[in-house]
Amino acid sequence: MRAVLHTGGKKPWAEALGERPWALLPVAGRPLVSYWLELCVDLGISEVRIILGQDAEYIELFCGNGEKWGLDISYSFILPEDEPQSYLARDPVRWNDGLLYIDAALFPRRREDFTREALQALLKGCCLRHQGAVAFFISQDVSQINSFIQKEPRTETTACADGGLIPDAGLDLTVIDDIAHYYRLNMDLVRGEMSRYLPSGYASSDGASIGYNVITPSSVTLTPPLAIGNDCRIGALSSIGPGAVISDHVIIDRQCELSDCLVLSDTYIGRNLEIKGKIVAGNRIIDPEDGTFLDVEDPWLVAHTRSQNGFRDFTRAVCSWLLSLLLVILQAIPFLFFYSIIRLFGRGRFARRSCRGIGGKKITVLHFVASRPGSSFLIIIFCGTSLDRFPQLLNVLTGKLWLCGQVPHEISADGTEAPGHYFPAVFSYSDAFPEIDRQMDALYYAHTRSVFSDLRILRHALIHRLLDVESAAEAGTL
Amino acid sequence: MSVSCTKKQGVGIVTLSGPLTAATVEAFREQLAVWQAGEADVKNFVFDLSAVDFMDSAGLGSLIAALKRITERGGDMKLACLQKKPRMVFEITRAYKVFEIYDTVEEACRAAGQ
Repeated sequence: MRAVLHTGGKKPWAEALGERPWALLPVAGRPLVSYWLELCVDLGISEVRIILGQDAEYIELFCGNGEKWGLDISYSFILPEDEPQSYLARDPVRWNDGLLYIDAALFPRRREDFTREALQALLKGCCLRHQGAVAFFISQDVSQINSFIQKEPRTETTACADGGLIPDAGLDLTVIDDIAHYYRLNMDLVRGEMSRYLPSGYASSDGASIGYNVITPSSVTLTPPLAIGNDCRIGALSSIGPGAVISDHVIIDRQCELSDCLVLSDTYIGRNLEIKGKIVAGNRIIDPEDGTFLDVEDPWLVAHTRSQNGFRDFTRAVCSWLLSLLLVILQAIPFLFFYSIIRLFGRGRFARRSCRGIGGKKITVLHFVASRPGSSFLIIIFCGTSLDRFPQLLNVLTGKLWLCGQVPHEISADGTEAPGHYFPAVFSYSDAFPEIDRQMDALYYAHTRSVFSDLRILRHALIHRLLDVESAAEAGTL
Repeated sequence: MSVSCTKKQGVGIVTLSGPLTAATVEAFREQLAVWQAGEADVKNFVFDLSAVDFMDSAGLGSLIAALKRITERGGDMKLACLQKKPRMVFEITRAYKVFEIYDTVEEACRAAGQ
């Protein structure tokens, strides 16, 4: 039996909780995806395929190769507009041994009578639909699996989940669909249900769960029920609980009071604050009742304890700028020479194109357009040596574009915004490897971006354009 | 940030508009001080915050400073119509324990006039 877990796609309610991928949002201190993997272990599934979307690197960093759970985890990307079920249809025979499929922010909530033995009742087949789409499917029956993959309107299973509740398995499949629901789930877990998820050998008879490397001075008052993650620091004279759920890497300064609240990881809570009935995610305070959030700019109130990927992107930015400067110096004279001749003979010109630059800002990108179809010698030389990208290199020097990254997103008439994790650049994978899909390449780049991947793109793009001058010139005529 | 001050039945009504942050507190302080200097007989104040959509710790600090000055002169200060986001700042900083907050300006005026 195999499992396919879809962590891509947008969950609007989760966006207010910061940039963390929704599949990694903690439920009682543990990422949601870890409950899915635990379900796979309980069902005896060893082969797991995780379908990634944006923020793929964080999911992959957390799940790794699955060794932590005794699972064999592999990864795939799909395009944002593709349905994950289409991925299954690519190789339908592969799932004949049985399939577990999750495609929602689904929490496998254990009821009081839950046992791992009872969970095997799920294997009889179960399909849960949420808002018209399949959120959960499991079956070992080939006909049921085929029917599901072929997206037949009603997938017949022997034990269909009714509203997510599966009495035989002692499980309630809860699909989180708003912040209030997410908050309530965390509060319910910390107020008694958390013990159902403890591995054997652990106990929580006092209703308090405290992770590793948590420093609490003797003057701190801890009132169960509460859950504190790993690597947390709590200042003197603070009072934590009841009902406080604190994730990993949280710093709580002196004299704070936290109760009935959810603090997400990497958060600093300043001195003498009272967090009650709120969610705090970095510098954002969220009211779970209506989703109103407030981004606090004062680092002494609430703040992020660290910026993710800051160093990696800083290094890339420095390298990108220096390389661009070098290219500008090398290309300046040839560009002026060739472009003057091209203009003199009326063979081409630069056209303005409105695109989204770094930070989603509107910028103008100059794009070379040959005036006649077919490639003349001048155009071949001009485009083959990438002189047609010279004006865009100036955009890199002014901080509007990266040197290597994704194809800049053109501003459409309907005002579509640039995607998240957006790195518009002069050169992209599509210059280096023209056969690949642009959207897939954008996703892949966001996931694997580094100085080395930038150098690889630059080297391949420059060489490819030089060797395949006809294509480079054709690209200029588009 | 704009500040408009009026007097109603002996109570000074200070209506603030715009974000009350580190960038705007100086203007708020100056405008309030000028009006207070001209209306020395007004002891009690109601701050109408219905048009204050954002506030940071500096903004909160300026309100606390105003409260201190007013109470030192033997007066009283009430807040009215606190919006959702500034209210969150009041909640986490426990400032709601320092101020008397009312849902409407009328209620605050009645309380200030008593």
